[in-house]
Amino acid sequence: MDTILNQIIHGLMLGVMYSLVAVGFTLFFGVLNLVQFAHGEIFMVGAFLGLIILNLLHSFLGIDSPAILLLICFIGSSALTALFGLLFGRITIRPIKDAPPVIALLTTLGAGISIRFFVMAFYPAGSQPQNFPGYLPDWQTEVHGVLLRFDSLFILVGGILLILGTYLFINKTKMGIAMRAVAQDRETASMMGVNINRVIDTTFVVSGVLAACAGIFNGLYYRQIIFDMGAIYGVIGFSAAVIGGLGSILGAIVGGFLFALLASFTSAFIPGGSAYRFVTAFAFLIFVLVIMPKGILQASRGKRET
Amino acid sequence: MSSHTLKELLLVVCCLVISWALFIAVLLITNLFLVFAVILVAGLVIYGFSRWERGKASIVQAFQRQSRFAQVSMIVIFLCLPFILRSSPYWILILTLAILWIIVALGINIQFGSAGIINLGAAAFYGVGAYTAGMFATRLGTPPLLNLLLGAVMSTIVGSLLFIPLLKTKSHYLALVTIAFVMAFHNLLNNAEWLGGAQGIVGIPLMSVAGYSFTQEIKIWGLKLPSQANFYYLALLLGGLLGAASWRLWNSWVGLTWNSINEGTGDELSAKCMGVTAGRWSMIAFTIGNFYIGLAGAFYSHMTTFISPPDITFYQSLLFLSAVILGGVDSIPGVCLAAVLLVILPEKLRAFQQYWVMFFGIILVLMLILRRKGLIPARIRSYMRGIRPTSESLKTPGGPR
Repeated sequence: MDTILNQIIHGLMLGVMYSLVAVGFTLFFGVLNLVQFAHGEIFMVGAFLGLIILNLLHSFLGIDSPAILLLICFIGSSALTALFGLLFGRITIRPIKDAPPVIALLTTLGAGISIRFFVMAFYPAGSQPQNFPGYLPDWQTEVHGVLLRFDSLFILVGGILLILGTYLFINKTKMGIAMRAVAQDRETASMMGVNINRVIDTTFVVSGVLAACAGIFNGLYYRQIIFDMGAIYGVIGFSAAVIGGLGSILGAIVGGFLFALLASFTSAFIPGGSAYRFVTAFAFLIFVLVIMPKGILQASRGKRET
Repeated sequence: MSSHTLKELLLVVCCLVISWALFIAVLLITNLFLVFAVILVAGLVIYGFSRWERGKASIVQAFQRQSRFAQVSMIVIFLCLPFILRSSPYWILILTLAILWIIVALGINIQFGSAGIINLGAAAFYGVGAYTAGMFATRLGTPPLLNLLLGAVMSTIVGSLLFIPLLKTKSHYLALVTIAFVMAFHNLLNNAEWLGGAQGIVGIPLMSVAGYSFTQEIKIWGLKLPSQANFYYLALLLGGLLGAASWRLWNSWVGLTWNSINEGTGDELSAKCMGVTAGRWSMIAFTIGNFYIGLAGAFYSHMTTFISPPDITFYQSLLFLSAVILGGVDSIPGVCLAAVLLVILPEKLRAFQQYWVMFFGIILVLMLILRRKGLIPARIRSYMRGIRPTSESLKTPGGPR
């Protein structure tokens, strides 16, 4: 029982990070109708920018208070990653806006690996894992045999707040409504006076912020980041978005948690399963796509034709 | 023989000699600046010709009229390459690897180029072929030639696991299925003890045919060829056979059927209305492609004597697929050229190894944005002798005249 609860907490914490990346994928798919496969690399860039900011603040300005450090790190990295995403979108995504989906997928894949190996080549000792300073307190407690760690709780709460914020942004603000309008029908939306290019830019900014926060969460939890971590996160985020149904935000969140819980349960309950956790998860993904080719939520609604 | 024919023959010989001389120069020159200079000269010459319409037209015409002569001389050049490169066995081995890549790229071209099935899991099928050959050779001691066949067949059998997703899903969903497949397969190989785990399979015997070991040197007419030439000739034979098969398929009604269900060149719905069983034909294309890829994988494991999980990654799949994209989707000569370039360039640019992948990504993106048809765009088929349809003539009612 306790192991189950512990695994659920661990799965939820992982699920938050997966969902943050998956929401980015689903936003891109909704607004641009393409799969932005370099999103995993934007996540990685976010984590590295966070690390650079932390190191700069700590060693040059001598700030020691963890709270201030983390606050500046989150804000700075989000802003810079959003800017990076914006530039990336203008350079690579705009020219292929109307290309067939497979071309878009391959273009973003190619752009993604250039970003990944750019970081490897130009970050000092970039091919090695980089230590991420653990500024979160080591506090932990046990409630009825369930181990609660401060960093897990921090990530869980922070991630849920971010997801809620995105949800409110998409549903309540004018820009969010414009984004949904473009997702439904680009031409009609532009006739109604929606500036398509600005909507695209906003999509890159929003997903960049989410990816940067997920990247820093990842660094804070594992205390280590490496240049190729975007690859696996990209595939997981995309898978989560697809399981939930591409284009649906709620679906991406559900998919992220499902994927994470599946992976963490496999590693806990199948003997020797921790090595095979992604095998199960990906097999499950293929299975879901076979019975519901357009994802769980999309299949039940059956509205969008892609 | 008329002077016109003579002129055309001379033109063909000139073109072949210049292009092969540049190619061999790039291989043999070790000074990087000189290599860059030669590549630059080659690029400028090709660009100049692509601009000079009359020159281009006369060259194309010469090659078309004297196609039999051009084919024979190409075969002779391929057979002679080891003699020219006999002082550097390393490059003979790299060329063998390039032929394996051509086989893989031709397989993917049948899947992605002709039938429009995006396969980002090619490395997994390559791995199935290589591991099957390795397991059979090390555990049961079956002869290598049989292992090549077993690897290819096993690859098609494993490919049939993906038949149901293949029929059910389309474009990026299908891409995701193949990505998930290669990731899960890599993970499995890394952990499965009976497959050697992270070490992979080591000590796979080298290729041998009916007792003839591939470790001995070839002696012809007093010339000694390094032992690597054995692999080159076998790969050339297999590549030639598979390439010819691939060409015949492309040029037949089968290739046309595949094009009709490809969302890039055709329309699945209209094809179905015309009586094309789309599902069956995509399964056939997928299976034939996997056969090619598995065969190349099996050959690879008998050439390098070991195979391990780092060779079988999603990134490797992307490299394989990009040979098709860079060369020209559904264009067999283009695919072959791009596969050779993708093997030789990273070898040549070893000094810049850590930047190579970055450059590769940038080149892929630039190609996709600026020249989506690839280095050598696919031609329109000509079914009537001597009549070459252009895209304009196809638009006129009644088809090509």
